[in-house]
Amino acid sequence: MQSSALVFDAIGAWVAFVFTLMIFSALAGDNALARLSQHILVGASLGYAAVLATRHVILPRLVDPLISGEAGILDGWLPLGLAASLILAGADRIMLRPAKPNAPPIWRRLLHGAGRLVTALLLGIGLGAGIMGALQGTLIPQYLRAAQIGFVPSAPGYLPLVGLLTLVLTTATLLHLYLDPSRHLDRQPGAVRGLMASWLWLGQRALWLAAGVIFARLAASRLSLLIARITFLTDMIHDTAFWTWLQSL
Amino acid sequence: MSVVRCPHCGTANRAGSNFCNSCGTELRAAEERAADERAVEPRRQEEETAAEPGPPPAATPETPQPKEPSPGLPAAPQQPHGLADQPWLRMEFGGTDSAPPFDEEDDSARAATARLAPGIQGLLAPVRVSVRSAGDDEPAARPRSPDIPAEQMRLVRQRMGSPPILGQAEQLWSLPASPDLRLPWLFLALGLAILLPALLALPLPRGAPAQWPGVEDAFDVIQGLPAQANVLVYWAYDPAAAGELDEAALPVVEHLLQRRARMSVVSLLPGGPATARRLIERARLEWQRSENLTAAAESAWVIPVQYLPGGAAMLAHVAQNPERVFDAEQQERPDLAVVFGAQAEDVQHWLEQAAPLNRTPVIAVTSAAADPILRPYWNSGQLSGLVSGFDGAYSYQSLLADRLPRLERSAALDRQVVLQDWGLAIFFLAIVLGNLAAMFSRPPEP
Repeated sequence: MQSSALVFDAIGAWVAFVFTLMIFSALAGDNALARLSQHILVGASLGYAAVLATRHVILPRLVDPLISGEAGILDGWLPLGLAASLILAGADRIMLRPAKPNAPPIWRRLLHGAGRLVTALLLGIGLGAGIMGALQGTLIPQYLRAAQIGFVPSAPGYLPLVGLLTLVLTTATLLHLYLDPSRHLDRQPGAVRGLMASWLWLGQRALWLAAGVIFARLAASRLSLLIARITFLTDMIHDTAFWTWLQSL
Repeated sequence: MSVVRCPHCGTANRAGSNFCNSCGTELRAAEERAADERAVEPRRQEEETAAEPGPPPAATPETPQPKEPSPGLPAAPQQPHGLADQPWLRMEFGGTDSAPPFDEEDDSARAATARLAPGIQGLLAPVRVSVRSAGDDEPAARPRSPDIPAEQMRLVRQRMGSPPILGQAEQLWSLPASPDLRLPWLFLALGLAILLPALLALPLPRGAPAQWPGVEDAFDVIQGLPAQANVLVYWAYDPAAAGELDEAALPVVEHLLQRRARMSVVSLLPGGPATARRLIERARLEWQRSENLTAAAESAWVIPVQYLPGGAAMLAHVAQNPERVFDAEQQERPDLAVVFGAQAEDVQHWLEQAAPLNRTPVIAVTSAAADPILRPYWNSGQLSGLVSGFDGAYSYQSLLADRLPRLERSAALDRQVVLQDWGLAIFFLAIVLGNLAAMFSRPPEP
């Protein structure tokens, strides 16, 4: 058992070695090996996801409770019906010939309506959860934090300065994104025009700075991924007899 | 629909076009040649029929016959000028179009297949304007400026025919003096800078990466956990990001194991559970080695790992009903939540969907790219700790080694720091050289 696991590990490592080289070959230009490896990667990922969903979700959480009679209507039959109607509606659209637009049969209209109902449920629940989550997890806490900075007496002295800077840069960035100086500032008095132009200039620089910081950390992140792949390749090479022979020279 | 091929570039243009839509080549001559060939073909057939007398050919469904044939007169001279070579202007046109020919006896089929407005397509086609007066047999010469070469005229027509680019100045000339970015050379330099030190294991000097705020907070939160504390782990990365995230997650998982935390792992990614099991097993081996534990002593300790499809909305379910997710008889409220996420959105999803419901402190272990976006959440106190990238992992490992001497810093992380320095040096060099080249190159001539 232990030896077979080691053999499978070795085979997997060498397959990964070959596929890494095939993917890297795309740096020299588009070629058949790189495309083949990408197709295999996508196909294997989708197949693995389908098997995983079947074994860990559909069978133990839906099929088995239905067969054993443990599932009720709300947590068993209703999800099964919704899933079946969505699958059938999708299969009808994909596999069968399109119906005449003027007079589709009644059963097809019912099927498509049921599919739309399930899709609306999925989209509505997802959007509702997303909007409520953004409000309670990001917008309100971040706003309260920014608003409270200046009103905490025990806070260090630099915090109000940070709050003021945050306010100025945020408004400047929003103004830079939404105002067009040639259209909106031409008819303004000179003092207002100068102040707004300075504010917009600041917003533009703030955007550049933020983009630079994000890009720098993104480059560091991708560099780490590249290093991990290259060290994987070099570790494989170090384990070969050829490398041992090279070192003996 | 009948088309005419451009003799210059081969693009299929609508019959009747004056110029090619793609390259601007004049198509009138080519079309007239094709029209001449079409006119010669019926006459040749008539001559062959007259030479071999016999019964007239039977009408076939594919070739609709004229309703009132006039055998003595050719069809073309009866048409008004311009309609002979533009048949779509005729009311009864329907033969060469993609619309099927209609049957005169079937009114419904006729209504379905007839054009909405017969002949309207002729308005879109270029109509040749006759410059000849009535009765004038000599064709008038087309006005053409002799000063403009034909090739230049073709280029002008091509540019006028291409869609306009709005919002930016169109570059009409090349910039020979400006430096080009040679990406393959940059890739090669970057690859060699990492490959050679990794392959040859060069002992190179290096400096320790800076410790970012948030790492020590994460360490203190885990260090302050009671024995056998419940820790809910949201595993939001898969093998695609494991090269970076494994190094960042390993010291945190080791620390949790050392604190005897009871972890329960959930993932919304198909590849998440396998990645979690592999890394937890690696951390467990390291911990057993450092603590001199036997595998049998820990064999009864099973960490549940669950895969849940359904997107971010499932996280609220995880936070509210952990006992249903992990099939536990009684799942207590977790003492800590740890998010291992490759992207900032993964941590944000947890903070938005789950954290407001169970009010559990959250530690985020993420990639370096997610750090700037998540930093405000640490500043606001929504994150109790933030470990990001290889530098965060290095700092966390250093804290572990300093305060818990039994846990050694992994050699892989030291090598990672060396190679990261080499890669960043190449980045820095490319930016400096690129800016110098841009500063000292000739400005482009308009």
